[in-house]
Formats: sequence, C-alpha cells, structure tokens
Amino acid sequence: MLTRNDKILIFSLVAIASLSFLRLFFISNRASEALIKVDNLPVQRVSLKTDRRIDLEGENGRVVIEVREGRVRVVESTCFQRICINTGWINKPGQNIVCLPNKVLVTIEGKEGPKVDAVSY
Amino acid sequence: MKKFTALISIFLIFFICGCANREYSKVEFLMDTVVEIKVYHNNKAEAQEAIDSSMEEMRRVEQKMSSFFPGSEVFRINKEALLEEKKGPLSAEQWIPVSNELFSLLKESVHLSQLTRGTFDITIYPLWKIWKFKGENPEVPGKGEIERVLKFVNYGGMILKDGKISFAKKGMGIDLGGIAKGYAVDAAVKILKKKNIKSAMVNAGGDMYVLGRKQGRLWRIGIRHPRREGEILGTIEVEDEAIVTSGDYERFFFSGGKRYHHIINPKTGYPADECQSVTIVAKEAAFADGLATGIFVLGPKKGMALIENLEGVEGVIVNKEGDVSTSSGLVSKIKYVN
Repeated sequence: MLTRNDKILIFSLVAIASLSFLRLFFISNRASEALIKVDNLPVQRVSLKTDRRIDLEGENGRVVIEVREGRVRVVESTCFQRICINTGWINKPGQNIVCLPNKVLVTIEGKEGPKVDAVSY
Repeated sequence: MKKFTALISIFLIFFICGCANREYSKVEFLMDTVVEIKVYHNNKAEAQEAIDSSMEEMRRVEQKMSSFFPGSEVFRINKEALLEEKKGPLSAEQWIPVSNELFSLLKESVHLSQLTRGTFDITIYPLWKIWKFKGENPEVPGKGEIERVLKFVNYGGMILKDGKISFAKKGMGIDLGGIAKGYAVDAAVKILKKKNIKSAMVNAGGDMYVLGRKQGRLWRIGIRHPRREGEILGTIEVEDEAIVTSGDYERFFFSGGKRYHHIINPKTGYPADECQSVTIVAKEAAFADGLATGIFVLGPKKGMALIENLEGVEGVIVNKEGDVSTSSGLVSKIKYVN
C-alpha cells in the first residue's frame, strides 16, 4: 500500500515531468528565424520579422542575404552556378538555401517545426 | 490504487525513455552537396564519435570514387585507360587492377545497367566530360561531338574479371556519379550500425537512409514537388529504408533559351525528357540511387513496370506532364499534399 510520502513522491515526479514538457513546448515556440552557417559554423541567427541585408564572407567570397517581409533569400554571391540565388525566397521551417562554393547554408527555423523529418529531392 | 501506480509508472517510463535519446547532428559539405547525419542516442560522446567516423567514411568514399578527384581510384583507372589509348587499342590483355571495394560497386553498376536496359550506365564518362556539368561553364556539345563520343558509351564494353577492369574500345571511361552518393550513404550507415547506433538519418543532398525509428515513430520523409520550389508532393513514413530522388530541377543551365538538365540519356547523349522526377525507396541507397537515375531515363511506363517487378523496391514517378504514379506497395504509405 502506498504511504503518504509515496504519493507525494509520485505527485512531484508527475509535476516535474509535466513542467518539463511545458518548458520544451515554450522553448520551441519561438518566432521564425533564419540560421546562417558558414562552413558548418553558425554565424548568425536572424529574426524574419525585421527587414535587413546581411553581408557575409563565404569560403570563396562575398555572399549577401536579404530578409524581407518574413522571407529570406540570397541576392548576391561570388559563385558561378548561382544555385543559391536561383533558389529564391524561403520562409517555411525546414527549408534551406545552399551555396556550395561559399559553404553557406541558410535554414529556416520556427515554431511550427518542419512537418517532415527530411525532404528527398 | 495499484492501477493508479501502474499507470503513473508507465507514464514515467515512457517519459524517461523519450528523453534518454537525444538528437545529435552534423552538417558537412561533401560530394558536391550538403551531407547531414542525425543520430538519436543516449550517450553524447558515443553519438558524436559515431557521426564523426561516418562522415570520415563518406569523405573516404568520395575521394576513392570521384572521377574528378585527381588521385581517386576512378580517376586513376580513367587515366590509365587513356594512356593505353596513346599506345594503341586497348586489348583484352591490358587489364587495370581494381580494389575489392570498387570492383563490387562496378559489378553492382553492371547489374543496374542490365535491369534498366542500359539507361543507367557508368561508362557515360566521355559524355559527362563534354557536357561539363561539373565545370563553371557547362555548354551544349556539338551534334558531331556527341555522336563521336556515343560510340564509347556502352556498359557492355566494360569488362570485369578477377578484380581487374578492361575496356573494349579506346576512349572509354567510367563515372560513378549516378551511384556513388548512394554508396557513400550506405557506407556511413554501416559505420553507424557498427557503433551500435539504432536510430539515425544519413542525408546526402536529399538522397538518404533512415535507420530504425525516430524516437519511437516512423520517419516522415517528404518528396519534393518537381515543379514547385520549396513544396512537397507528398510524404512517406518509413524505417530502415533508403529514399533517393532523381529530378530534372537539380542541376541545369540555359542555352539558346532551352533548359538542359544533368541526367543524360546514355543512348542519345542528350538530357532525358520522359520524367520530371523519380523517387525510389529500397533497402540500399546505392541501388536506389542507380535505379532512380536509370528509371528517369527509361521513362514512366517501363520504369514503373520495373519497380513492380523488383522485390523490396517501391517508387514514385512524375512524368513529363506532371502526372504522378505510385508503386503498389507504397500506395498505403504515401500521403499526397492535395
């Protein structure tokens, strides 16, 4: 039979567990942001709420990123194939822009979280 | 009261289990794309060590299999075949030794060529060279040049025997671009398994393998919409499977107002135009990779017939009009976005 202390213990454990869930929920519930990485190192995390231009030094030269109206894109890059520029605007969590020659990676992170774990393309 | 205790215990066990496996990941620029390895594990040091080793393994595979990497084994074979060319026709006695690892991959390539009636063909190398998709300024080769080079593209002219390779014609060569990425993914997964990782994803630019389940549930993988950038066609839920897609949107250039993409038909010498994208789900990424490329060229009808004939292989094909077909085993597992 459970003693009074057992019940307190169980109650506290459940309370802690529930609180942890809530904490996780609140932490992941932040506004949409773009994470910019150069050569696998995070260099900047920008909110999509404020319009701005970001000048970066990529592996092979300059890369300019633009944030406007909750979206982000690469506007200038020293790469040849321009795959990053041609990707255009992105705004959904999990979407990314890649510039291989400059080793620049822009990923959208957000409260919704990606609906899929990965995309095959 | 006992029921209550039991319930609480179950809840706690679930809760603890759910939290014990944390996500560890690493992104690197490898094999001309972005490679991401994600691992769910209960020990940080072990997880990171496993990720680093498998990344290292992929780098090793790239350096061995790339036809553009001076010093790679494939580069050496193509160079030796060319040197032989200068001396005169390469006779059957002029064999080039190949490592065991590459030899089995070459044999698998031949198997894929046979399955796809030659639409997957690693002897496409001479064609690849003149299209220059890897270079800074790809261009449409002249008609005469394509015709000249087409004579050297035929997997039947690549002879494999006792760990050695030889070519029937001078001017032939190999490029493993249609299978190496998948092979590298398989190699990384092997390392992860060896390191006792039970849940992971190895993703090489959209060509991936998912190991086990993701925190108790199936992995949810989106298939890119071939014509709508940033949107997905549908999602599939899988575990212990490779998912590889070949699409005409991946690498392309414009010339004279026409769009030229990188999946070249080894029989015509020009980009294949029967499909917009082909997604293959199979047990091995190398096989899925080669099959997706081959079926893209083979076309939607023959391609789907081939998928249905192969055990343990499923697929989604989007034809040139944008119509989607799904293999029978995938119908119940795929959710289309409208």
